[in-house]
Order: sequence, then structure tokens, then C-alpha cells
Amino acid sequence: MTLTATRQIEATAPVLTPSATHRISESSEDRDLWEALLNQREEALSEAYRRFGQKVYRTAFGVLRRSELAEDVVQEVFVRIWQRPERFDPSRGSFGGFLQLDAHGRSVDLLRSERARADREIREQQLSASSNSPMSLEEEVMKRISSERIRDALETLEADERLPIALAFFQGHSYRRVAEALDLPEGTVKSRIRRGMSRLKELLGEEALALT
Amino acid sequence: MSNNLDDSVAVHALNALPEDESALVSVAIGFDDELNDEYESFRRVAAELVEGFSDVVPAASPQLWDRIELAAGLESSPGLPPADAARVETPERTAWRRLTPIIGSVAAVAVAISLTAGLLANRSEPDGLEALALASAELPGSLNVGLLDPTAGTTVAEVVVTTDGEGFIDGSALPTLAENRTYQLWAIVGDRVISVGLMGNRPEFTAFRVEGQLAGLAISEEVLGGVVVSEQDPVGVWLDQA
Repeated sequence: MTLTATRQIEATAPVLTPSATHRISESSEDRDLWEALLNQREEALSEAYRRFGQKVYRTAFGVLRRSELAEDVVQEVFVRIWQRPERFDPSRGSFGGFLQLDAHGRSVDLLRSERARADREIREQQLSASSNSPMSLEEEVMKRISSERIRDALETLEADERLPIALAFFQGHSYRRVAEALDLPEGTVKSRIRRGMSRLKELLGEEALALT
Repeated sequence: MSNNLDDSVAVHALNALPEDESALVSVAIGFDDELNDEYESFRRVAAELVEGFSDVVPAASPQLWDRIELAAGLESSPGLPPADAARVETPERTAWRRLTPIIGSVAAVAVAISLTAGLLANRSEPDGLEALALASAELPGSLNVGLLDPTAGTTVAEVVVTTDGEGFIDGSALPTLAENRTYQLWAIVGDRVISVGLMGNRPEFTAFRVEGQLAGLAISEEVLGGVVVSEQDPVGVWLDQA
């Protein structure tokens, strides 16, 4: 017998509230949480989801632009941190940042995989279509960056550094695709990315110091 | 692959290397401390950049946490306040502090049953659902009970649960709540209290699913979105007296 419902009872999930952005090394609360995960305490996973689930989802959706794929990534990120919490090293940054980057990496993998091939083809076409003008490419990608702080940071870069970074990170393209789109040698794109990242490291490092 | 490994490390930090290069750079990073430090410094930059993703995104589905719980192989748990070794209590006590006195002492027995509380994804017309509930009530072994107001003793909701764990609740007798409030349904399985889900502020006939040996059901009134730990007195309770 097939059972149906008039209205779903929504599953109770830990409330997804935005966690505070810690631009300095992780708080002691995050460390406690990570240690609880290391000790395989189940309540720690729900707390991690409560604190960081929204940000992780937002990161995944930012790359994939599809809710169902983004949810798959969120699931994978939290299951992975549950199964292997030792992957995180608190001396290297915040726990939330680690989870978000993990989500970014998985999202990029997914984007490039067979599952997302249809979307990727559309993106490639869009990338090719808009690559007649690097300016329009830049406008296109920069408008997807909602954080004023991050946009301001990227604006401090030279245009030839900013665009490859933005295309690679915020649209999930490999540097090879970026090189193709910008009609540049692959080595040139790589070195420009590195130069831009080095500048951002100085800038964001100064900001972090200013907060202390 | 570029001869300039340093450039590749920066690109790798942005997840922008193709798989073949990524694997090679990862190996190089593993063997060279200086390269590893450089990579980690760029990863910290990437961790800042990731904040740039749009705030305006569609909401994740409410079932996502259930999926994570299942995939991680966790026993269903209502969730607890932030982990703190000095303060964490056993789940059955923290999930519902108000319920415990009402149901009496709950033996703190390790739960052997792996419990899953899920949803039925399909929808139907109210009449169809009510018909299904009535039919389910006739099935052998089905539970057919009323949840009582603990104070007034009146029936506030009626529930049918089959032996397969398919449940129906008629909450239409419950008063309508404000838009920012919701009713939340809880199941007592063994000595654990778990959240089955949210009924909304104006519940009607709704389906749910719960597995395990059901020892009780309760409804609480909560803030919109529900809670992982209820501090409220239940508005309706049924306990298996067997």
C-alpha cells in the first residue's frame, strides 16, 4: 500500500544559523567541537551541522548552482568529517573554513564530473560566448561575489591577476579552461594566479592582524 | 604540467588544477615542508575567498540533516547543545527535560535499536490521507491512540501507527498557533526521545514514519523551525502503559 501525505511533516534539523566569521584562528568552541568529533561523539556532528551547515551549503551552491547537487556535497562534507575528523588540523585555520574549502573542492570535482556534464557544457558555452570581452567575463563573475569585503580585496589586484582567480575559484574552472577562455598560455595563467594569491595573502593577513 | 611547482601550488589551493596535476602536486607537497607551508598559506587565502559566495541561495531541504545522520551511520538523536565534556548529558534526558517527570523514571538502558525517523515524500488530498489512516487503523497490530492534554485530560490529537512504522496524526483539534510557532511531534522509542518532525502552526491530517518499539508520543509547541532540545511542557502525550 502506497502511503501518501497531505503535507509533509518537516524533519527536524538542527537550526541552520550562520556562524560567526572567524578570520583569526579558530575559537576555542570550534576546537572543543572538533575534539568531540575526534572522540566520535554523535552530538558533535549535529552541532557542527548547526554551526556550519548553512555556510557549507552556500559554498557548494555558489559553485554548482543546483540545490540537489549542493546538498549532496553538504552531506559528503559532514559525513567525511565524521568519518575522518583527523583530516582537520586546527593549527592551519578555522574549522568552518576547512569545511567550506572541503565543500568547494568537492563541488568543483562534481562540476567537472560526468554527473554535471550537461551543466558544464552550458557553462563552457557561456564562458566561450562571453570571452569575447575579458571585461564582460569579469563583470559576470564579479557580480556573483556577494561579499563586499572579498570584492574589495579582489579589486586591489591587477586585472590580469583578478580575472583568472575569479574564474577559477568562483566559477570552478580549471586553470587550463581559464587559459583557453582568456587565450593565454597555461603557464601565464598559473603565474598570474600565484601572483594574485600572494597579494591577497598580504592583504588579508594585514586585515587579520588589524583585528587582533 | 608546468615546470613551476610554486605556481601549481597556488593554483592547487584554489582547487583549480585538473585531476592529473592535482595528484602530482599533492605528492610533492607531502614530501616538501616548505612547499606544504606555501600551500597551507594559500589555502588560508582560499578560506577567506570562500566567504565571497552569495548569501542569497535557495534553502537546503529540511531532510538534509536526516540524510547526513543516516549516511554517517548515527543512531537517531535529537541533537544536543554544543559539545562540552563537563555538561553533556545522556540524550534521553536532554532531549526533553520536561517530559521525563511526566513519563516517570526512564531506565537509562543503552539503546540497541537503530532508529530512523523519516518522511513520506508524496502528497495526497486530505480525504485520501484520512481514508488511508482509517484503513491503516484496521490493520492487525496497528496502534490507534489519542494524545491527551496532560493538564485537562482531553484528547488533542489522534494517531494511527502501523506495525511497519507508517503513522498518521490528526492534529486538527490543536489550536492554531502564531505564524512564528509550530507544533513538533516527538516519539519515545525505548528510552530515547526523538523528534519525528514539525507539524506546522495549523496542523491537519499528516503522515509520518517512525521505526522501533514505540513507547510514547508527545507534541510540543515550539518556535518556527523546531528545536533539538525542547524546554516546553508537552501539549499532548500518549504513553504505552503495557
